[in-house]
Amino acid sequence: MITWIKIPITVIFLMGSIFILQFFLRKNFSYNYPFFTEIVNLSASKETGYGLLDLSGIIFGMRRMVANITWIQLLQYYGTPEVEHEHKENGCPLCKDYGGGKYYDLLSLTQRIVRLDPYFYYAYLYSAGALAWNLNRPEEAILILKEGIHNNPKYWRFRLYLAAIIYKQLNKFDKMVVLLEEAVKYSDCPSMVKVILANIYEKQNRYLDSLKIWLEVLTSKDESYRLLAEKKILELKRRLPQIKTG
Amino acid sequence: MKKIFAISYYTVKENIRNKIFYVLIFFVLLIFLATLLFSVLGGEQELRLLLDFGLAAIELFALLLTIFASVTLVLEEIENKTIYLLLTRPLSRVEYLVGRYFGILFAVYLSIATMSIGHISLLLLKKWSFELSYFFVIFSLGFKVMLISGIAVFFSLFSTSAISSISFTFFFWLLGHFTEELKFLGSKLNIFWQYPAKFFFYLIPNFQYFNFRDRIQLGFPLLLKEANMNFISLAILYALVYSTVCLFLTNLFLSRKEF
Repeated sequence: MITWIKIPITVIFLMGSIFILQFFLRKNFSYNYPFFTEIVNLSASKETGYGLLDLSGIIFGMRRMVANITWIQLLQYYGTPEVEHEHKENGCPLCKDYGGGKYYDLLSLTQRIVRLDPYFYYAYLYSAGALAWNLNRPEEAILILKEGIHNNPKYWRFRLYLAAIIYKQLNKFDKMVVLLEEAVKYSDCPSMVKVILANIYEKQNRYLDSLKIWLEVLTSKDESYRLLAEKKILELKRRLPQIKTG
Repeated sequence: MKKIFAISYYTVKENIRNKIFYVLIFFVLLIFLATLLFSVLGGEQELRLLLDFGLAAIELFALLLTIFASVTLVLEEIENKTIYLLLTRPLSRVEYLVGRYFGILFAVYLSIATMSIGHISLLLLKKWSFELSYFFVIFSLGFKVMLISGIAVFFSLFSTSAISSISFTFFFWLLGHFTEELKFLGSKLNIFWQYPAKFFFYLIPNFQYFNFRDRIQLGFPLLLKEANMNFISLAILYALVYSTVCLFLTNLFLSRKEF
């Protein structure tokens, strides 16, 4: 008889402890992720169609892992020539210049990545750099950087990139270059941004500065950048003596 | 205590002989293949990909080991009738259950440690700069394992077959990671359904409290600052209490079982 009273009391006591602990844990817990509807709406859209993949990443508690898979998708998308456009049958206004390396889905792919993993700093920097300087769509780059600042207010490098892009929009190239010079000093600066600066130097006939940047790109972990750097270094080395003697 | 230790020791030995190290060989093969793949596909983020893939693989293998070992823990012994040999000795059912539970935990922790050593070695070969946050992630995984193991043991006696126990446990694993999203969905319900949803939210185990793997990018000092010691100690207590509840309920079922 006593045992049968003890059991429910113990169960109530233990369950009560779980509820009390949950109550205090909630007070100290912060879940700084966008809710799954924000991601799934984006990933299930026509441009990407990966809603199920993203949802499974959230359900398994593996947001970072799925963000990485999406990152590989982004690299493959941005690294290959555009041959077809998914909007074609709907008479999309973007179709007329599709195939010319506009990469219109780059923004939505990046948004998918950073909503899955808001701490993926490199993805923000890479895509912002590509959109602002390579694809000439600074508004989209600003959109990504603003999302980055909102998610990571203490990561100040986003503000540096943002300022550089705004200077570009205002045609204040000298000020933009100063900020890019600051950006390339950090180890997490994407090689793509270094390449952008090296090309700007080259256009401004600052071949030696350009060469210095290319030598840095040579240490990149990405083989395609290393190969490009090797080619450019040879090219610049050939040019440099002529410039000096000229 | 001595009896519990003896049962735990026997369980660890049994698990090592049976399954655990086959899975570890598979883990090593998988991680080396991933290295080859990511060095081609990952671009400048090769190390990040390798780190995440390894940690996710460690967690998944640990989950599989825990679920299969915990579910078959008592069920197999009942089916093979080997449990008679143990329970005819001066050993209470609680001691048997607790001993078996700790045995599984130690065996899984051992496999996690082995996988982590392999993973770290590979990362160091790829010039990874050593980070304390890695250990913090593995440490928090230990509590996830503790929780899921308790749930799996409970379902092994609560349900009638191993398959249903595995399914229930796996479902809880998913649910436990989805709790924060469920809370959001619950807030969209009308007021009448909000209270049951809240009760359900508080009842199911919240694995997000231990999911520091997704925040490893922050680095150890920031991770510790964000989590704070108060939260960490509460989360540890939560895992301990939740597992105790599971074991207590399992013991209720076991003590009422007639052999």
